[in-house]
Amino acid sequence: MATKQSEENPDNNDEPWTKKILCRYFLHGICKYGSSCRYSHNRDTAPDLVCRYYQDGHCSYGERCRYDHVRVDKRNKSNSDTSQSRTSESSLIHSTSHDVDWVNAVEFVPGQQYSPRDFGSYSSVLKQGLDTSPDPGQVSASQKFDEICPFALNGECEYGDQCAFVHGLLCDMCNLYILHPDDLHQQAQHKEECMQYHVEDLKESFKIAESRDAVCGICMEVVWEKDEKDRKFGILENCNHMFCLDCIRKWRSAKAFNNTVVKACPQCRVSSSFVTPSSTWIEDKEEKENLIKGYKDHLSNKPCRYFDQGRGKCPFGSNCFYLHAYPDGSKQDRSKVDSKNVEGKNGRRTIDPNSLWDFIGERNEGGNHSSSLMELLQHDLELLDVVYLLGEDSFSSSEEDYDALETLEHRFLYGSDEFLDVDD
Amino acid sequence: MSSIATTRIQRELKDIKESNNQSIKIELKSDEFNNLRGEIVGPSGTPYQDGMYKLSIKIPETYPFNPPIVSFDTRIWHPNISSVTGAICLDILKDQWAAALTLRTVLLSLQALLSAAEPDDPQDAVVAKQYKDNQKAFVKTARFWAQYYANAPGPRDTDCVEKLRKASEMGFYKDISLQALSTHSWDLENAIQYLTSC
Repeated sequence: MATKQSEENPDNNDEPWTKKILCRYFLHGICKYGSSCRYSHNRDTAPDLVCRYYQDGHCSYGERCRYDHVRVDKRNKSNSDTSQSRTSESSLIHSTSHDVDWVNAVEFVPGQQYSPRDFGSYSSVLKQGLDTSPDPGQVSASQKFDEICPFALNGECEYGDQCAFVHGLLCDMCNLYILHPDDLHQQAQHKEECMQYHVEDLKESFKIAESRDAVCGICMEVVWEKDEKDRKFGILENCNHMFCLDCIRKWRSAKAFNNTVVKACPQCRVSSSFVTPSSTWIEDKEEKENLIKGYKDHLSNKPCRYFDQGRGKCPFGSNCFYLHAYPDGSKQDRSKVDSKNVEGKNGRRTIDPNSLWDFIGERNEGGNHSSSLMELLQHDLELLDVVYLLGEDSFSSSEEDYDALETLEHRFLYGSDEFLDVDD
Repeated sequence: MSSIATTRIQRELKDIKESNNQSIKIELKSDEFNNLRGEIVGPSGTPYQDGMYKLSIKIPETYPFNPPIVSFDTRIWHPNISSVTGAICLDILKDQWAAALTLRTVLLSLQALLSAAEPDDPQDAVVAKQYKDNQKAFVKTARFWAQYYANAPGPRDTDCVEKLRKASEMGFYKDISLQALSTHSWDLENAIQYLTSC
């Protein structure tokens, strides 16, 4: 930068910087500007004989090119012959890249690489990694990737052996010429990544393949053939029967039946206390555990509407899936809730009826408790199947369902029997 | 009718057709999918063997979240089926329904019910009492009903034919006479007394 200023400032130096470069045309005896040429016509000046096309990786003359096919390292300036011109050129690029001062904008100079803006040409952008690589000994793997010719990556580099970029070796996993021939570390890293990607890809496609034909046991339709918003599976905790989320939730909220009937799988009647929504069909035990864990984690970050930052009482106590946090962010001590609301009786956990009564009473505004208790409880439990869509929070069901879920996004981990006990 | 119920019934009808099970049949009564006619064959080894039992099946709007309403159109002598109305007492058609059950599984369950009666959870108390107290009379009656109403093959019990003829000759409808005779375990005198008293 300093060089450039001194060169361009007419007060310090009367000669433009171009006078320091031997005119290429003059060199070949064909400069039409003669003495008015802005470039030096003095054969003592250092010529710039480095092929700029070669620098960009695509000199179509190849070996027949009259300019030097050498790679110029701007930093080290190893090539002393061209150091001067390179300096001026690089300073030129820098000046344009930092201040958009069109008065001092770069002139278009035939034979010079014209870089009007800070982006540089396509190839120079591509080559940035190459140009800035400091010391070959310290080249990181990602920079090694940058050295790989992007055209040869797909096996289509027309410059063949003359390409300035490294033509990688074929990776038989991803079918790309991406393995750096001289760098075993890069090769290993790529192969590992490729393998990981491949395994995940395979898993995903298996999941999709399995999901594609999955038929809901209730509506008997292929879940993936339904409208996009209904294309979700409801995974039961304790068995592996297939249902779409919509159907299993509807079944679990059916009013005509006993809770033990509707909370059981409609196929095998194994009871599950909650349904986990999933976009693909999951049967594998480990994956299911992950899914359920992710689901619970997701819910545990959502504030509980009953607890209401400590202003309200949550009837689900320590079993609530939702976040019980006070306004200052501190969490409720769940062990306390346990001893207060839940007392051990014959090894069973029962909820203290009083707190539940309060809750029911509030909701019912002092109506007929005993007759409505069961009904309400049943109603509440129906809504326990909260929609949770991996990553998205939109509820696909009707507005009515949405409202219900809004008020009662709850779930009770230990089934419903405990609630029914309260009625006695 | 809700679309889920309609599409499911359509699917079920197709599945039944494809399953090629000769002992159960389901067909539409009209163009509507909420009214179906079923038919089951009495299972072998029972008094109902080879009888053809017609069923009426009504599909509720909320199907399959609620069970279909099934009753026997063909009269049958069975502890868990009303001998008068054909109403069925079967848990899966009531509180033990599951959304994954289908019409096919319901009809198969009915066939199973014909094979294994549950007299302790009766629909028809008279039949259940006879089943428990007088198994011989029960089998005789059930078999005769199967032949009389469900076209079950085989020679009819001459005692039953004779008593039924006598009762109907006295001017009582055959159906009512048969009901009375069956209720009184084929005691003609008691049956006539019952018939005249009502």
